[in-house]
Amino acid sequence: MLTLNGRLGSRKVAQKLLARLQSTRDAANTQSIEIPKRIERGPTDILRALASTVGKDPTAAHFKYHDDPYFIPTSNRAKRTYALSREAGRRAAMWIRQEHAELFTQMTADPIIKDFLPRAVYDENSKVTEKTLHDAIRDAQLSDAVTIYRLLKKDGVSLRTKQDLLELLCYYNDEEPTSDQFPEERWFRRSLQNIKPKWKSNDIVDELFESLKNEDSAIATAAYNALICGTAKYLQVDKAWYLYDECLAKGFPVYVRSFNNMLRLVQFSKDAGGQRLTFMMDVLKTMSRNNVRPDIGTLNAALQLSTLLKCPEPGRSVALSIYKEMTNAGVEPSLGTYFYLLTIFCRTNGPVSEILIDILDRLEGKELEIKDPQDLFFFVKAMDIARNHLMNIDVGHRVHKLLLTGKNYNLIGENYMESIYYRHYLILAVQSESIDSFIKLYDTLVPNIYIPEPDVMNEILLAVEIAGASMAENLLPQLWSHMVMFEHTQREHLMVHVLQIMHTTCQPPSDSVANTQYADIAWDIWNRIEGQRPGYTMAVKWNAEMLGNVTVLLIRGGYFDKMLTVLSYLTEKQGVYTGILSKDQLDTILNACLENGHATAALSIISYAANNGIAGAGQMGYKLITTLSLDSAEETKLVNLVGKEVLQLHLG
Amino acid sequence: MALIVSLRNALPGLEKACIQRQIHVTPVAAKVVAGRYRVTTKRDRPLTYEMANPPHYIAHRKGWNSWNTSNMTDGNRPAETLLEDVFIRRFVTGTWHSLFVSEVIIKRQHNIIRIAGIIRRGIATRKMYFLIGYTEELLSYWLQCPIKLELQTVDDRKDVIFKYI
Repeated sequence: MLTLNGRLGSRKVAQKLLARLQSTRDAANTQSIEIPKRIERGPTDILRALASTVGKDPTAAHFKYHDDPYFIPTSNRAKRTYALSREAGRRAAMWIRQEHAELFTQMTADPIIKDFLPRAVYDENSKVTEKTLHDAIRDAQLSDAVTIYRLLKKDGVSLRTKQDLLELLCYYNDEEPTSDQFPEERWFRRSLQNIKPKWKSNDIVDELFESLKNEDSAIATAAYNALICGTAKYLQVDKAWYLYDECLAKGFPVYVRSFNNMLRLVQFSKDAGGQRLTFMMDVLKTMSRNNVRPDIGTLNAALQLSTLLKCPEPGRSVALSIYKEMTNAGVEPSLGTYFYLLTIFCRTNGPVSEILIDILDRLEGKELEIKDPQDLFFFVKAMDIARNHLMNIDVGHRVHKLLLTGKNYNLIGENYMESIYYRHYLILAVQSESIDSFIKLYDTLVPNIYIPEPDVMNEILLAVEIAGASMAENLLPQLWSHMVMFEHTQREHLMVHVLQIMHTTCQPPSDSVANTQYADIAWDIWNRIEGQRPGYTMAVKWNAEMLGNVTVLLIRGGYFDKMLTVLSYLTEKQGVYTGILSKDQLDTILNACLENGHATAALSIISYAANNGIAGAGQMGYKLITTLSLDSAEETKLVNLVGKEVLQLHLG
Repeated sequence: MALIVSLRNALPGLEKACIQRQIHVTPVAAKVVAGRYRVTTKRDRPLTYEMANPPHYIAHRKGWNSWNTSNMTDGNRPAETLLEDVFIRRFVTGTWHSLFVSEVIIKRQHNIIRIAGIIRRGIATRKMYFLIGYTEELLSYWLQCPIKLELQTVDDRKDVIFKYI
């Protein structure tokens, strides 16, 4: 209190206070306080704001996996199996709910959430109204909608609902859409296995169309357009063209999405490039005659056609003129547009084009949105071009940076494309960057975001090999444990490569601790190959080089007893593996046997050398007899192997 | 006559005895046994940490098995919550047959129910993932709210044993 009084009393403080008061009063006089306008917020905005504060954590597994060591997947196969198993469990629960729908009657939720309740089943006796039909159409329940429609038909259905049903059937082509409740199944599907869609003729579709096409022009237009879209989407080429011509002849307006679908059909109706081009131009001209403004679908469909033209000419010039014309008409290009441009401009056998760099200049730092299904192919294509066409890691890093901007990661597509993307990225990085900076990248991506395939691992091993012995000492044990984790130990070429690096190309100095580590790895490899299920078709088979490498590595690590196990396999099962050991390796093994005073093992080595006609068996025998004292049986054996003369010759 | 006299003499005593007998006078047996485990002669009954601490240690040494606000003043659905919890526990112990080695902990926050526990690594991981998906989905159909499982695994049943009594 005293100090406070003292302070207040001091003249300086009083002056300061006064100055502050004055300034506030002045501010209040000169400016009026502006209350900002209320920003309309959605119900989930606060959640989005919270979510935006959390970044991607490369040290943790994806959140769809349980956070427990037992539940975290360590290989690509495990990732797939775990995520799909969980969805299989959900499917099982769904099946039970549907089979025993009579038990799931309680309504605890208020208001009632329809997704928790079993789906209604409709048959001939169900009481249905037009509203039920409308609801089924809205929820895209295709088979239900058809059943309800059949029930309602005699009472008459309004034209509007008929049109809706026609659109639904044309969009999904008589096949129940895959539910969005199973994101993992979509994520892990194999995109290359996509089967070409086929239009299934449905009597309901024909019936609906016949009843709608003779109504007034607005209704007929909608019906025509729906059917054109459906038949064109599912490649019923002739029917689509017929309807399209009929629609134009009758003078009904054709919607832009119908034009887009027709454009995608051009490639199926004409084979030669020139014909396709004129055909496409026809469609585009019809569009402009009818005053239909092109949209992103038009641009991408036209570009897709120009990817099929000859490259570099006329493909490039056509693509450029289309691009220019459409952007002038106000179409905003999407990622799919760039994907097609990259496909056209960066061919493997064509001239090198740096168009990707221009695209990156334009896109960098932007948060992108999906506008066209083809958008999902952009990132894979861009990384592919950075690796195979430009061979430029800086471009690769820029593409990756763009992918990590905002929510752009959603545009990676699916699991298959994601792994191709990272395969390109890592191989590009390992081939063009120093091993240190590559390992930094490797540690952020592996294993939680991406698990390298065996081919990528081979490239990494190659880079380690080039980096030299001291780098290999640091990296190889870690890489080996990763290879075990990722289930790469059944790849023969990887095993051979690892052994070769440890044995030959990156041999550590004799006093290094790496010798023990390498010996451990070699022993692990031995046990893994020996422990394979008999009769397994993919089993790794031994050859002499591998066995020799394992033996020498075990000797360098000081594991003499373990070495003897491998040695007995080497000498006893000669017919099982291919090739023979080299002289150097035999010498190393013999020396180790002599150092450890193991005459039997030394004899077996000499017998191996003698049987396989390796020069110098006599010399080895001489070395044995001078270093160790042999009993008479062993001596006789040695004499039988190399001959008395040779030993005496050397002795003499 | 003599009998009557003797009776008259005896009656007050009898009356007194009757009154006295009406009061129960054996020692009070108010032994608390709920949530406690008896010591065995061989001292080989395994207890988890949760079992080793009697109920009066709740909120001191151990937590609750059901976390919700139903029983506070103006709490929502206390009876329903209790029954649902019993249902969840039975469903989970039955579905994860002989896998749970801890109590089933049920935590409610807003409309979400989180079910936590420690399980044994008794079956393959993919089968566990199947059970996770199944449990979450079926319980959410039944209780009509999002359900999440929060599991931790131990290698062996013995890993959760705190002491033997």
